Amino acid sequence: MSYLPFVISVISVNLILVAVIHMQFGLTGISNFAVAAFYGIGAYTAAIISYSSETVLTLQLPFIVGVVMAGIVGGIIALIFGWIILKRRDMVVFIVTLVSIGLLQQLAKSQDWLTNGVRGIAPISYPVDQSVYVLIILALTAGIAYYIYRLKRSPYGTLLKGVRDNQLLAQATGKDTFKIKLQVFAIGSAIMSVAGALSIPLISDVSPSIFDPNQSFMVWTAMIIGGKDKIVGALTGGLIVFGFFRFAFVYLPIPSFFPDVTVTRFIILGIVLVLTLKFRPEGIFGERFTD
Amino acid sequence: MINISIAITIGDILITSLINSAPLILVAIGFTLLFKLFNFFNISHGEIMTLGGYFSLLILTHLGISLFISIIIAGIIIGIMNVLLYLGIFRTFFKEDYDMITLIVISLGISFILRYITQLAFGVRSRFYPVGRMLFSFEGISITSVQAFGIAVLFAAIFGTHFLLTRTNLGRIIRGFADNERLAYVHGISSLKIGIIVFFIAGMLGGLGGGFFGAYTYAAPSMGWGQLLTVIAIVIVGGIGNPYGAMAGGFTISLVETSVITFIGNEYALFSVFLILILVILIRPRGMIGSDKL
Repeated sequence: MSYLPFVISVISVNLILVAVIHMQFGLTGISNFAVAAFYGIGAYTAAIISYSSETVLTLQLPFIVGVVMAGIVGGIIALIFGWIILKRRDMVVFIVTLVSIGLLQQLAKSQDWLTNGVRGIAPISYPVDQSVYVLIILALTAGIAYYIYRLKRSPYGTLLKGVRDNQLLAQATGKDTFKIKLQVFAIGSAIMSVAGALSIPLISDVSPSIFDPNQSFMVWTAMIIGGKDKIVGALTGGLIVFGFFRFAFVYLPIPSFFPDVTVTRFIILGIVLVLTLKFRPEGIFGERFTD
Repeated sequence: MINISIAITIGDILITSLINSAPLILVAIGFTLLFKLFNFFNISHGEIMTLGGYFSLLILTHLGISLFISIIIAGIIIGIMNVLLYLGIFRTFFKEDYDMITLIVISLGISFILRYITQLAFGVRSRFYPVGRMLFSFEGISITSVQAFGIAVLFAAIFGTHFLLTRTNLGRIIRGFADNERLAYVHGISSLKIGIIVFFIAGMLGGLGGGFFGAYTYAAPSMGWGQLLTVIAIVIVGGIGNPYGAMAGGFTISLVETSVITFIGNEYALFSVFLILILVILIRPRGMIGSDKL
């Protein structure tokens, strides 16, 4: 397995997540922090359906079935979860989605019959040749990014911005803002689950550590650094955070007196996040005044 | 959750829940006070708890004084650290009108910075307190003296907070500030002074909670982050922004958790907490003791 296709695929999968968070938070104002939760749900669904040999389900169906099922399962969970929390204030949504990641990790560890516990599900091989797989992921990322780009310019996109900026006004003009938020939450989360499913051949095993709050943090930081209002910003932020902090930074020739980079990168990322919000809250490409 | 003794009767379960709820209620009171004053969830409060755990351990091992005094000193140090955090970072954001989500994201950033600095400084391994099992028996149930002390500090904090908020002039100012910040400002109340006092109290309670939690279990860099779900469930179930709600919620959550651990199984404890949180958000977002802020 060569390394460059792996790096490109991982960055590309994460760009999907950043683009979706741009759609959910930047456009619609849904503060969904459960990126890693839906990503992990998708990964587990696809792994159980397509690769599992030790759990209750030993279907070993083709990988594409696993990916589609990941989207369906993620979407259904998002519908139920969203129906409960999206009526409440934004910060409640943020905090409940945040704590759900740890809960899912704990469940994945304890439910041996479904997830094979801490041992996880392995090995997971590439369904097609690795170079073909990279191209598929890149194409999908481009497609989703273009879809979100078009969405923002469509009448529905204007409606989403209306829900974000002035929920009361949107309601007064007869729009069911809860329903719209639920739609965006479910569709976005289903896409995140698909991204999770697509990433399993890259990481070659699915274990409870896939529910990683650091990933949600990196995705959110990427969106905020790049600019939450624009897909270009979100993708740029994604390239910076996942290209640099996830990979390049770790492999730079760093003098030995420097402390552990895998730890310090999160400190630096946190500082970058706070400074961005202080001095340029709209991010690199953001709009200072919302249209 | 923590250190479950073999509980059989209802009395055992009640006392075990009380023991286990004490550290997290201390953390939750600070969390809810900050929410009451500044209207945002301070996620870095979890790391305040972690630091409380590590500082008590450091003072205990390096100064060689008793565990109780170490925890108290650590609480005061963490309170001061929280004030510095307020003056250095939070205050600059409170001054400008940032929306709530931005404030939460900032506290999340601070939380990550503090957590990984802790990990860098103390290592990723869990550290156990060098405390002997100082057992004494009460109604047939064994309580270590640090657990008894935790409960005592909890009640002191409850009465202290109650006294401060309802019986003193400062408490009236704090409540007035929480209800209407602009009106308080017009009346010449300094937000700086209120901020320093509330961040100190919250930090101290968080540090104390962390110290006790560490003494019950161990100190680890992700200790506070790992307890975030339970702390948030406590404040929301009880009624956010209300210190009495934190107590009611804390005891309820702990009771359910202990019962689930006793009768169903350890692995469902966190799930039951989440289920209660979801049910409260669905059915009664005001929480047990009303709060109109959600």
